[in-house]
Amino acid sequence: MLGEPAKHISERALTVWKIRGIITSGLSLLIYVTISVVIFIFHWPKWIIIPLVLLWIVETYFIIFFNPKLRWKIWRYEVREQEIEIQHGLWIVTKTLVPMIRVQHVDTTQGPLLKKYHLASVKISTAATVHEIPALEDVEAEELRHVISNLARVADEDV
Amino acid sequence: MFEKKRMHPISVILFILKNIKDAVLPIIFMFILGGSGEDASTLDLLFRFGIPSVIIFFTIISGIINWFRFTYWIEDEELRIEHGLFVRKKRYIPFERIQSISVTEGLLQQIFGLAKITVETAGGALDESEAQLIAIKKEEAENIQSYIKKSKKKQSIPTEASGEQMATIAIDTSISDEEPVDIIYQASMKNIFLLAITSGGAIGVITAVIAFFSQFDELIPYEKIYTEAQLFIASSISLFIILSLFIIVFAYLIAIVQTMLKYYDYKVEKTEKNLIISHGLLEKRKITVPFHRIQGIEIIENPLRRLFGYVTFQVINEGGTDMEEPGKVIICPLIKKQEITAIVKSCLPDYQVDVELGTLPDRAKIRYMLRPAYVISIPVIIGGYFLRPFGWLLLVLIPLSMLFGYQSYRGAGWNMSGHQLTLRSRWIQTRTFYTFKNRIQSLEISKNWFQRRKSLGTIYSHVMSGSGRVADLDESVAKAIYQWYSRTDAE
Repeated sequence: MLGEPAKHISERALTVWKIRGIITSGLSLLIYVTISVVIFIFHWPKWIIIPLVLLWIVETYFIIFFNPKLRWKIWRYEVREQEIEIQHGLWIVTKTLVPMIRVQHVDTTQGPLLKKYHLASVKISTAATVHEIPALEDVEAEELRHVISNLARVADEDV
Repeated sequence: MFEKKRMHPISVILFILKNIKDAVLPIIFMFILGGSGEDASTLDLLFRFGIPSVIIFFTIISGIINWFRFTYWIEDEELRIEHGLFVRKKRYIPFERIQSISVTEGLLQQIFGLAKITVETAGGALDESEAQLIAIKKEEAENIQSYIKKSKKKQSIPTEASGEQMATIAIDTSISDEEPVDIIYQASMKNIFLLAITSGGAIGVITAVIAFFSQFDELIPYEKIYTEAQLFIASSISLFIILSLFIIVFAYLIAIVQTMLKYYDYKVEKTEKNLIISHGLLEKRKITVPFHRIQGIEIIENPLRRLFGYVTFQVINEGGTDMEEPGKVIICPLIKKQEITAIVKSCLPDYQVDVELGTLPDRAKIRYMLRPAYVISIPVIIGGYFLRPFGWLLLVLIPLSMLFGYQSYRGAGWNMSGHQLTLRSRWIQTRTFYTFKNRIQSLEISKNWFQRRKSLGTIYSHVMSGSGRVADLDESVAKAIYQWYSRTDAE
């Protein structure tokens, strides 16, 4: 039986995800504050603020600490000669199999945050779907892109 | 055959008839639009008789001109046609581009001993891909046909000069001798009627009408009028209801007629490389699906049609630009369930439809039953609360939805045999999806937390322009399918 794919993604991904979590948490804090202000202006019952605060704390814990860690633990990939296997997810864990001969093209992308941490993500497109391996070391991502596109080409010739 | 020629004068009448048929709707419309009876104004009369007669007059004139200016002949291994009054249109069709030639006789042609010859080329659009000589002498039609066939055969020899010459000739003759089209399915009028009365189109029209009238409900200030004239409004409400019922029935009839016109003369033909679907009375539609582009097939069982024992058969096409619904092309809109195996076998022999499907494990049952219950429980509770006490009757919907979920559980299934993967899922309609390993672009197993606890998994297979999915398969089955698709051997 096929086990789990062998490789983890870069540990620095964790840092990037945490920073993203902090940004999201900051944005939602802004929304909650706005709601609280509205509550004060219209003299609605003030106790509503308490669940809002609790909600924000729980949310922040999940998006900054719990989710990135679990996601990183689950995220695995493996590039074999004839296929790529990817496992990802949080509550729903998905395992995907993409044969090399089905790969149409490979892209690497790098946003400002990823760039700062020398990371990049690799996007693998088939004729029907797109699969992303996020946050690889950028050297590794580049290498992977070459490997996949070479293997895909070779496999193509076999057909 | 080689000099420029006009068609038989009967083609004038054929041309006029064809154009009047296209103009029939506007003429009827004008007729209705124009007023009637004694108080009809001149404008009304103009609408009623003036415009239609102008239309008819021009049709007749253009029919005659069209005939007069239309010439055809054969030259340099090409069928040449010139037509048009001011702008001369020339169409030269080289024989090697001709895909098929057919000679048919309509009623009028039969009376005068004539025939219609249709030449199809491999072009894209319908208008461009065929040329018609609608009325020429029967012998001449046959001469042209055999001449084109003969010279096509001759052509194939010099192009393949050396080597496997013998084989090439043999293949070529066999192709051109064989009638290239093979009708594999034709919908009977009864089927088309059944299709029309069970079609979504009819239901769509009805819902549109209902939506329209529910808008009225808010527009008309019933309460205000009510205080003013109770009796009057009471009678007009019943009038309103009768009227809306009448309109619903009328809309339904229109939808039926529309569907019947659309699917009139529905047939599927098979050539060496393509499936050709053609249908329609007023507007003739034609869809060509090359076999090598078919990514998978689907059999859809809609609950209403299942009552009559009918299913729909469609293929997933790699996708063209002129498709109605990108990807999916209906082959048989309505077909008896027993006949589906034979039809699929005749048009796509690689697919095996009558495979035995594996079922889902027992422990998946409760998940299937709870899933629709979750979805409707919130609206039911809210509705129940606001419409209480009777609103709580909505709670009946929850066990009903669970029954529905149980049906979905029973309907789901899977099969792997050779290179073929079959996935069946049921929601409102049952959808059985067949595809081949080499058509699947990627395969996925996903498990959420509850599924992991019960060792279940959902499988997705993505093909170009489509996908198949079955939820809550036994983990071992999901793994087996995954392994089947994998190109790396199990260790």
